[in-house]
Amino acid sequence: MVDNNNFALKTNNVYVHYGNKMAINNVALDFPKNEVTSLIGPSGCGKSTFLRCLNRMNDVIDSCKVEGSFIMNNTIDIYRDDLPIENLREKIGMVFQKPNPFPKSIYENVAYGPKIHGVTSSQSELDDLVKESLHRAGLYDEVKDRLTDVATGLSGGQQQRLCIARAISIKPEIILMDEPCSALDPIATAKIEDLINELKENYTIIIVTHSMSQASRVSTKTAFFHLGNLIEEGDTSKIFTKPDKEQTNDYITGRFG
Amino acid sequence: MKEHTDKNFENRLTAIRDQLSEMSAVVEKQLSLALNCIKSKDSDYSITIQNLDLQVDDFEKAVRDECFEVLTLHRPVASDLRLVFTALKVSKEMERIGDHCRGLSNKAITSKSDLDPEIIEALSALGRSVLSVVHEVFDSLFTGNIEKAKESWRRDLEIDKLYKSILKTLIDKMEKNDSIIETGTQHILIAKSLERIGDHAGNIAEEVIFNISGQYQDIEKIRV
Repeated sequence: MVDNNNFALKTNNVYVHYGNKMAINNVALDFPKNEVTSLIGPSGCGKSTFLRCLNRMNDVIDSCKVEGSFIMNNTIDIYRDDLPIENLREKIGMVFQKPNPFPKSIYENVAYGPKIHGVTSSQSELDDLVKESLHRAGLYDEVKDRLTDVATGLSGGQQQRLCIARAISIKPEIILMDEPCSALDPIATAKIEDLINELKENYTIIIVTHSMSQASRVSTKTAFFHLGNLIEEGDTSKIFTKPDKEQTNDYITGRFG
Repeated sequence: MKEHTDKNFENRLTAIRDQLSEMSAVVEKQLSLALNCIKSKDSDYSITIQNLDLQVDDFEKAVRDECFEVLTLHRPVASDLRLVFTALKVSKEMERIGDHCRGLSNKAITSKSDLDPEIIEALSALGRSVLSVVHEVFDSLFTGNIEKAKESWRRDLEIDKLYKSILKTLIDKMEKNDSIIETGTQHILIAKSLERIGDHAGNIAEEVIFNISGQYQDIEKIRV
């Protein structure tokens, strides 16, 4: 019997429409706690749309209509009307394709979230949290002597790790990543992937990626989307050795015709 | 299955399949000629088998090199990865079958003709069974027929029984007539080579089942 407590987020009967166009068609997908789940599929398959549903990023798009069940920790309906969006984003953070640090200092980038959400009660506690978050993001040693420097002066890979530090500074439970390495070189990518592997001890991570090899390297679960449908999901090792569906096999082996 | 969008990758996988196919044909020919040697002791057969063995060795190296390049340059996954993995292992098993053919043909043509015809016939029958299993397992590899692969795996048991029967008969005869010990021993080694070829066919069947199903299966369960 499946233990529901092992899932950070469960989704069911998910439909997403942009106007009359269906983007997600009856998807049910559950995300195990402290694991990394990759969402893969060709452009336009709905994987990013689905990811953005998971912390209600689509709410700001007028034409976007989201239906279905999104239950966090087996109790919280994340689309509940009386749930403040900022409280939801405190629990479900997001890292975007392009690093997007605030035009502020490195310190302020990480401290901003905890200040807004009142995570800390004193300056020294905030200092410690900033330091800890930068540590966890594998960035502290590289920036410890220039915390007051403007964050946009960092390299692309450092900026992305800063964004991860910013996301984890408010102690979320789930981190959503939308192609977090697509703008990075192989070394910066390897550092982020290594970081993802470490972060899963404390967080549930859901990552959208176009890189099949990245999905196979970083995730324990993989879900394959095509034309808004969830074609197959399962253990990453199984998906990349013997997927059940021929459509999955065709996609991951490069048979796109 | 659809073709790869990357034609170079598709061509390389096709090359691996084609090389395995050609290799299997040469190995089957070697085995067929080796069985002729048991009866006829014609040294021409042995020379041909040795020449074919050089081809088999070259095929094994070619498959190995092609698989290595495909792994390095194309990083195959799923069905492609299983194909490359299977090709590497099956080509090695085929190469070993070729070695056994060469060895047993040498023994057959150099041994004396002082054994009962019934022993030679029993060895030939064992050889025919082995050839049939080898043919069946190659067929399962290229047609992707998992049931045929399982069947050839089961038939390896028949080969083991025939081998044990020949072994017992030869030992009994050698105990009664020590003048045939040298020839008897040669023919035990020939029978052992055939039995080992059956084992290699069983190993290939295991790889065929993995290639199709993605799992290694318990041989004993399939045999039951």
